[in-house]
Amino acid sequence: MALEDFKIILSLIKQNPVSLTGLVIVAGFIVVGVLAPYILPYPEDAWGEVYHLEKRFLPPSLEHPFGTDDMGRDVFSRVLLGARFSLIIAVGVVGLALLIGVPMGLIAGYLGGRVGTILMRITDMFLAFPPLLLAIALAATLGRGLVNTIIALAISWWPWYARLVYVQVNSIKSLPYVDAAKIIGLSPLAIMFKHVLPNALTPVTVQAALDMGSAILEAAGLSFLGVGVKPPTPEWGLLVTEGWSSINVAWWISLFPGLAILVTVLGFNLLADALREASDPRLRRILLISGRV
Amino acid sequence: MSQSREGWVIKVPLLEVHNLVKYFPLRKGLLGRIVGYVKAVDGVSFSISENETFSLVGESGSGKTTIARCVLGLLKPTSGRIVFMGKDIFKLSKEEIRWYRRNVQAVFQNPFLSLNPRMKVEDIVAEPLKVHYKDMSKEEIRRRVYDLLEKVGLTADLAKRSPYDLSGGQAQRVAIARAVILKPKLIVLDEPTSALDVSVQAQILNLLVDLKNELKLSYLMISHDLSVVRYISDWVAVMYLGKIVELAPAEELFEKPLHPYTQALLSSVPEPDPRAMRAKKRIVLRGEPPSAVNPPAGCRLHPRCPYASEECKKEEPKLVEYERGHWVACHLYTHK
Amino acid sequence: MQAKPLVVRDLTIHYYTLHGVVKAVRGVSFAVGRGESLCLVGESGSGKSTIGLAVLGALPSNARVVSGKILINGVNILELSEKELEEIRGKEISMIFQDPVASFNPLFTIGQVLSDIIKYKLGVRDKNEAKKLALKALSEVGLPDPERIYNSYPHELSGGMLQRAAIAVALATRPSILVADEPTTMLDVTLQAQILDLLQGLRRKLGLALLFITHNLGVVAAICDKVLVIYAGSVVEYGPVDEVLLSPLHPYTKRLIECVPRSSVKTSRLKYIPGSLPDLRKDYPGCIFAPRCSEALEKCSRIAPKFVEAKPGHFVACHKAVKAG
Repeated sequence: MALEDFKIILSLIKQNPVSLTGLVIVAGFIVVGVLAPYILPYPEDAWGEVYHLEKRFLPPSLEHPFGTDDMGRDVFSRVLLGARFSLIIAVGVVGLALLIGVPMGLIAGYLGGRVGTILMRITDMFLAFPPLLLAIALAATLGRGLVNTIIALAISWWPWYARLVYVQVNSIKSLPYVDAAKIIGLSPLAIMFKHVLPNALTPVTVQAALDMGSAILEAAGLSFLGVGVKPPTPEWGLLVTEGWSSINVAWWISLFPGLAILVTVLGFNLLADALREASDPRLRRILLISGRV
Repeated sequence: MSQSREGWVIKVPLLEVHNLVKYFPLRKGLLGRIVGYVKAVDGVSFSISENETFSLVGESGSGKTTIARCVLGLLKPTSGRIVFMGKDIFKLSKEEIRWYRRNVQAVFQNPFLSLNPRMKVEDIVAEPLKVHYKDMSKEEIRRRVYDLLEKVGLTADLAKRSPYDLSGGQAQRVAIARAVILKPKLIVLDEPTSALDVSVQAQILNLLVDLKNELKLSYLMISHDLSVVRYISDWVAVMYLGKIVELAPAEELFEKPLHPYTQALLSSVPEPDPRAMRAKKRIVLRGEPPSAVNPPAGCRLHPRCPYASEECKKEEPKLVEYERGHWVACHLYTHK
Repeated sequence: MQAKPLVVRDLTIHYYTLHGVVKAVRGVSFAVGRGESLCLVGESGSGKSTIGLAVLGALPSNARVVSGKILINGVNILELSEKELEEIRGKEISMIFQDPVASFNPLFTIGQVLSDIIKYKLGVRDKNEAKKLALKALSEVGLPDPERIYNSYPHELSGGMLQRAAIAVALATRPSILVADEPTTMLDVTLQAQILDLLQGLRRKLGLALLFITHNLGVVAAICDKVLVIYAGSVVEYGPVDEVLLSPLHPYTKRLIECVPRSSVKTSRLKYIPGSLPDLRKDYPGCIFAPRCSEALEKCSRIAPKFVEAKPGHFVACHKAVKAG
């Protein structure tokens, strides 16, 4: 998105406390995710390399704000580091899915005809599976691990982007500004990248923000089902699972990573809403007219 | 044609359209079986000379926009030829296509839809220069863009804005600037003012007239608004269901309309003069235009025409020169 | 004297937007009598459509009526609850819009829409009776073969026919007031002429009070008795159509008429109104048109002109016109 859009989006978000909350949560998540390894109170606990049998099942305290787990590890440190893995998963899944889906939709939409039909039929084949089931099947086949989780989720998701971009491109390519670009003498490739793609990406941006949250949630789901990330990686879904068996004695082990998932997903959803609003040209126009007429 | 001191002079036609036909297939079912054709344009011929405004008027479905899109090379005609400065535009080499693009530009109805919302005004206007003059310096491009923005009546501070920050009139000026920056010979104007308020429409029409005189432009104007057409045109062709029914110099057509359809159109135009409106003799057409999939046999107007005779149902009238320069396709005038 | 069906007094409407309060309608008053047609004419941003929606009690959620009264057959609708309003809508006042396609639900046939309205608004429970009334409503608006139209879906009808059907729906309940917001703008001229003729005929036949909203001065001349010219939310001129269009008093009206190209005469050069619409968030102590007015006097930007009867029945808000008159 251009700088101009960014400014408009920021000013819109600032005016709406709900959107602002979303922005703050997402920004906080990213900061924690990036800085996590350097701000851990108990780095060794976080990476899960140690046992402190004397500190098992300690409830939340000043020393251990989120308590400790069945191996005496500091849950707060593990949740903090978990943010990094969730961030990697979110960016990885959405990034990979965009990388496959956007070109697919763009080519299919712009070329149309036989090539377009074939590409979209392939996409439809993937869409025929429920995405979570497909992801579980893929993850189980590929084996546990961070990279495999990302691949499994991305493969089940790219068709949605392909379809979204395809629909957008299809409607944009018949707009007068695309005709105008042809009349000017621009090559089809230049028209595709300069005039069609940037305008098709607006709803994709919104969807991507929304999906970052879903990716975290689904990765957690895969971990919870035992086909996702390998322990002792402090991925949030895995943390929830680890505490599950002792939920009656130590509720905090599952609760805090669960809350982290909830808040982060909520943050991405709120931000996506704000982006959707800001990217509506009609709304922007109303704002600008009322501001400048 | 125009009159000079020496008498009638035949001008070199800039654009000639010969017997243009464009059918759109109607498909049905999974396999896309063709079940019929929309006969959008069904044998249309006309020519436009240098520095002349030629208007195609007609109601929706008359085929006027399809002709414009063929001339702009956005649609390939089913048959017929479009010749620009002696060259068939569908048989051009790659280099000639670039030459054609430099010389034929367009302005569309809705300025907000015809400008990329993600580009700034100056980039929109500069784009044609960047496409056609790859080695032009940035300063030269900038200078030309800003000069032109001023010429079309836009202040320099608008150059950095996005189209959505502009009013309708300002946005249409940007579209006009983009169309003239390459100094084309012909501009296709597709309903250029119908999305604008009247006071803004007047400014845009005046601008178009000024640019035509200054840059020696020719216009192919597409419009349903007869008042606008009279103001801007040298020649007018009236279309009905894919055919030209009358073609004449603008003044002649408005003062002495021959075809019943032209007469009906003119008598339907509301004018801001209540007395004249009451005094006007109205020629009313029955019903609505039929579909262009199966146009009526004979004269296409006959089911709605108050003067239709038996002959009109059977035989299609040809477009004939009834008076000098005044062509009409109606049996009322073929037997004189 | 019997009260007029529609009376609007000193109506002021504001829109609340992120960039401030837009004062869209600024103290507008008018009345429409039985069998009379009044045109609200103005350019975009004049507030004419906002007035139309307000009269129907259908303003968007971010608009507020700040002051004024809207009397429908003597009842101020601004004091009614949504339920009471619903009762009045359709029965006493109806509206037709620019885009007839958008005013029909694509899933229902014209007949279903009409029968529902007849059933709920007129309380006709008998199915055959309702259908009879619906067919009558369709033939009244000049639709050929009402039986076929009755069973048609909106997409099966052309724009002109659909607008006729919309008129049938609006008038099926015999309201005393019809608000028409640019009902012919999307139609071709020959169809426009047909629809205008139809509305003209129905107005006379049913004694409708017709509030016609348009930007097209030609349409004004074709259909109206009285004209109300609005600029930037303010009434600048009001009078009989012949008076306002043939001997306009307000400079805005004069310039607006000069802007319009004619098909009946050759225009050598079109005049236009320089400048643009003022910022509607601000208040203006003087005449709101003064900054663009070529005839403005010194006091025009300081003192707001009163709305006075300059000639019998012909009102204008302009210092210059009143002085000259």
